[in-house]
Amino acid sequence: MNPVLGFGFIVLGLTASVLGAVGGAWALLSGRQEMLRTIRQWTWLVVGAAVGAFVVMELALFQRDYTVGYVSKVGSPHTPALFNFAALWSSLEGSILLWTLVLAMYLAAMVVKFAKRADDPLFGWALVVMLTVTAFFFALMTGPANPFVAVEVPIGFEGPGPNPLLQNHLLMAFHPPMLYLGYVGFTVPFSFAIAALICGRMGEGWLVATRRWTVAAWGFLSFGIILGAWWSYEVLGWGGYWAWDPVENASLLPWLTGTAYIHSVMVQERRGLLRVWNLSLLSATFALTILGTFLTRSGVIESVHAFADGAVGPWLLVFFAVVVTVSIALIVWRADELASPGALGSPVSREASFLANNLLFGAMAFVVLLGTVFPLLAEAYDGTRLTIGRPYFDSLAGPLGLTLLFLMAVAPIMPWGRASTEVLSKRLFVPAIAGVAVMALALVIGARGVSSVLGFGLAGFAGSSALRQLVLSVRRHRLWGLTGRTNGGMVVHLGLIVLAAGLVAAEGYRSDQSFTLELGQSVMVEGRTLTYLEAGIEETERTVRTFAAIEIDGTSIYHPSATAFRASGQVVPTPSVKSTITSDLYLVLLQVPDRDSDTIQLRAVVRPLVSWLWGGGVIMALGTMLAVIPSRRKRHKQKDDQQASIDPAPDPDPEPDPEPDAGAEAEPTVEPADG
Amino acid sequence: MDDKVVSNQRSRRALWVGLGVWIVIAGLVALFAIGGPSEQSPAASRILNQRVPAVVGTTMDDEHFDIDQHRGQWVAINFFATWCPGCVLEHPELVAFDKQAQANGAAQLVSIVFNDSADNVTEFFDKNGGDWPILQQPGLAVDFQVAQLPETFLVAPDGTVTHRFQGQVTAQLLWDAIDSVSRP
Amino acid sequence: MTSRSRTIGWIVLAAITIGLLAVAAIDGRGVETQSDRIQRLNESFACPVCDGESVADSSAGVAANIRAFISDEVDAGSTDTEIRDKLVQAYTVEVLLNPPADGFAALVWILPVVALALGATLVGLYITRHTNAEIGEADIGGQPSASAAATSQHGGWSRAALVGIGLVAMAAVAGVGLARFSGERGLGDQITGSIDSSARSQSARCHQVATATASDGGGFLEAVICLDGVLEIEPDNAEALAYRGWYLLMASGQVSGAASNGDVGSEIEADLAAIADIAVESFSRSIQVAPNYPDPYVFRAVALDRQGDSDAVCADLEKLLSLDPPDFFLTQTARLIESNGCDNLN
Repeated sequence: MNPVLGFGFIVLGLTASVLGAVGGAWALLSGRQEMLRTIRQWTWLVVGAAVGAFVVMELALFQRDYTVGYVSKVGSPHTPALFNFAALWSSLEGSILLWTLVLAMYLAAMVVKFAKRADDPLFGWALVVMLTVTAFFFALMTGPANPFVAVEVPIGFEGPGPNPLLQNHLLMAFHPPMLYLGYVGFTVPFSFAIAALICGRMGEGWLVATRRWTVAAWGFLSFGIILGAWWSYEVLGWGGYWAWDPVENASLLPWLTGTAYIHSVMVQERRGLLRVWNLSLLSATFALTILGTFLTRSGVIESVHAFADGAVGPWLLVFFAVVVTVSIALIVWRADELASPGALGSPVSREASFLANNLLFGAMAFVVLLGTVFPLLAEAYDGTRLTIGRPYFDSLAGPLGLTLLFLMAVAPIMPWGRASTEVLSKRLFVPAIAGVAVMALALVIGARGVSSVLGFGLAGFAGSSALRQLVLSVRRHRLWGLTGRTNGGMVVHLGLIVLAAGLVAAEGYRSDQSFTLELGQSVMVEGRTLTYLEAGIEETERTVRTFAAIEIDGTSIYHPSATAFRASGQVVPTPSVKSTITSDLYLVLLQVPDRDSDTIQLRAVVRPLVSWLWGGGVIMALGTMLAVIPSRRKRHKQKDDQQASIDPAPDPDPEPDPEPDAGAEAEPTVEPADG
Repeated sequence: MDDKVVSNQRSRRALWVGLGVWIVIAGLVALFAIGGPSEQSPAASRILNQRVPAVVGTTMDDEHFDIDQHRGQWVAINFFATWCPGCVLEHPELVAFDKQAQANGAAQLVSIVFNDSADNVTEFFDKNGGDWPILQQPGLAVDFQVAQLPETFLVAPDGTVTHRFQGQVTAQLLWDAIDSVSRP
Repeated sequence: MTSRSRTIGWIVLAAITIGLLAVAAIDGRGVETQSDRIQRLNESFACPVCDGESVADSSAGVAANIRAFISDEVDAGSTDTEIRDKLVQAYTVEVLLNPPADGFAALVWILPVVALALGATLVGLYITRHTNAEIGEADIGGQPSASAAATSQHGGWSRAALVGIGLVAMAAVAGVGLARFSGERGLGDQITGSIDSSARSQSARCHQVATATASDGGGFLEAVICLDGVLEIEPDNAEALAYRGWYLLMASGQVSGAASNGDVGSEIEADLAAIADIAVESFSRSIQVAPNYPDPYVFRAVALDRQGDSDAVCADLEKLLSLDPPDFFLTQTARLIESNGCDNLN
């Protein structure tokens, strides 16, 4: 029953989205407005189909209905409820189902939010594009990634359950949906961009309309990536949080272009410049989400956490090629209308710094992409198989990151248009002092190494620059001074700076040692005493867990362990981490006690400031939420704008972001007569 | 008039740039389409059909073993450890193979311990039977590029490595492989 | 604050920054010990079946094996290059976590630098072109007039092209340089240059000398001479200092890896004592240079044990154990603890 019902929903979804897309395109091309209304109703069918399929699958998982192919793959009578729920996206077909659901949710939100502008052909085309993408994903589920394949199972069959690594921690439940909310979220502004290109309305209207969607998608993606890093650290047991693994890189690529985009659009909104840049960045972001999906699901590049299944690969690759071709073709076609109405002005201006920002993020994306695909290139060239590992990415991303930190300090205080050095000097002086102070502090604490200390200094520099903006804004608007895109953005910057400082410390001052310990033996690690108290075995019906009790400094006891899963024979090391705000002590059991002796091999990694990574991530999430709340000025303006059309061209953004330092200059300052 | 010229220039330049970008990305797509991990790792070919690496040492029974002294005989080299479930499962097959080999003298089985303690191994063999040379030398695993357990290599009487089995083997599998080479 | 005082402020800040960075550049970590070296090597090789995890991080059996192999090789005195070559021979270039700097693989280093330089040039071109033009020229849409654009374009183009070519050339050189130095430094590390010519690998060669012709003790003496050569390059090389003393002791027959012998004639005793003093002095200097390096503590304890100074022996052993020494020291220490009655240790 379930397979038929589920598949039925999928077919419904596919039909409705295809008809919606085709019908919508026809309606728009032939100018039939009434048809558009019907298309919107079809959209609700699509949404319903996606929800229906999702619900059927969850029910099947809950019921342990093994006649559904996917359930026989990831279901198990022993999996706890929450992990069972999350098992839906633990393997290929289910992950496509989740993607489709999120896509449908965004579709629904789009229709509701833009209901008043429903007659605008721009919106119509955006809907058509969204429906096309949705149709593709439904098509995937009717073909190579069908989760509702009906299978025959012998009586008493018990499913293997999701991959043991995914059952180790609760956070695994949240990491993929968060990521998908990010990836799929970018489909919305992309659809509007394509629609604008098709309609030839190259003004800034569509940008402004989708602004909040873009920021929200970016926020979800950022948080999803950081969650993944946290999970990698706490669960996988290799001692780190970011391995420059192809799957990780696949999620980072759209983040890089997406970040460049959300900054670069500000230039277009304000001055109408960088239109081709923005369209390219946005198209690249969406295309990279598809490419990323391809990389993780095609088995082209081996990776620790790829879903190795070749069938979907060709489909995704073709879709990627189509997206790229259509985007490039449309941009080239409209190249003429994309000419900027103005000129840059000065190399020392906010516009120029955003341009530099684009360049740096572009370079970073290039490095990540090159490093990820280079092994394929090398193999195609002369058959050698290379490994491009962490050292490569670290050595290239490091300097780029430091340069970006510097830019983060300077850009927010840069005025639009030509900036005088006088203004820059005045606004950057205090942050510069702060940066130098942080460097001195770092040296006093004992930090050495030019790039690390420089990193701390730049973090201090950028941090106080961001704080300065916030202080000025709060002084002027009280708590409302924290809301709105500019101010929320400064909070996000602060979070990222905290994260960067954590990274500099955790990477530069890492200590990694392994010991062989007898029962009762102690060892000193970076000023802490570790004592091996005892070993033990804990057996459940799924697992056999061998652990060692390690006492740290005579106070707390931690239990690094190795968990063996009976079904697969896979042994998963489970690290035990003592986190404080200043450093983390990370324990891994390399060798478990065996029958002969209780000797263990213990690996202890000490990294300073790791908790700043997660703290910084939380601050970034908070900042994103603040950024989507309209700031005070805009709340008043919004009521007037209700009836405005989507693109108020030719003049860009009617609600410009507050000029930096508007507060400071409003108050008269008393300058001493001479220095 | 000027504007139209500029506009045409712009459109033409856009076309070229767009085409260039598209070609680069198309190259990337092509790379993905044909690329991918190849079936046979080139590393494997560095072992197969080459002279066997030196396998010399003192066995756990305190006897000297040198693979070069077994020229004229097939040698099956099995990498194993007591903690590897596959190795434990295939052990009876190896016992059978060894019995047959000692009977017909066509082959010699030797085991190399991979990342395990001598005591574990001795206890395991005492409990589960088997009496053939066992060497404990971590370096050998590197020489044979052992990647997973269990792995079994077949060395022909002339000293060339002819087969590499990754995963469990059966006695029949080994004999069939030997036959396939002996009878071309 | 006036503009002028602020300018002075900026200059002061710049000076302080340079000073602080200079301090940061001083590497206070001391010499690389054996275990540091093993850790560094472990981090530079990829586990062959783990898709990019380093051998240090991976929990796979192969990785453990390669770690054991590296550890054995380091003990046997192989240089970094030899270890690298052996592993590459066994597992192909794939085992290197950092792609080699020659051949096709060098592209992976050069391309990003070149791309960034190219991008920067293009952006610079864009900026110069657009700021040369007059803004606010009265025409439709604010486009600079074609003639103004043309003239500024022309001058700007050739100048920018020259700059661009120069930049790209520099970038290519930088890329090659990056490739050359790849893997030998990281964030927070010092640039020490090529590994092969450093005192470190020469030390390793000296160890090989020691074990090569060890049969008649002559090898140890040669090793001492070899290590003295290292000390000429790097007088504060703790490892060389420690092992020089140890090989001295071994060359004079005062230790042979097993229990030391006691029956020698008295004149020879005096010479032996003198040699032992020199050795102890070496150990003490090594400890002074690198207080956290375990080896000289063991050596000095052994030497002092022969001289009968139990308290000093116990003190050294206590310090040694607090440093978590490698396993093969522990057998020595157990024996010494017992024979010197160090109750506080176990």
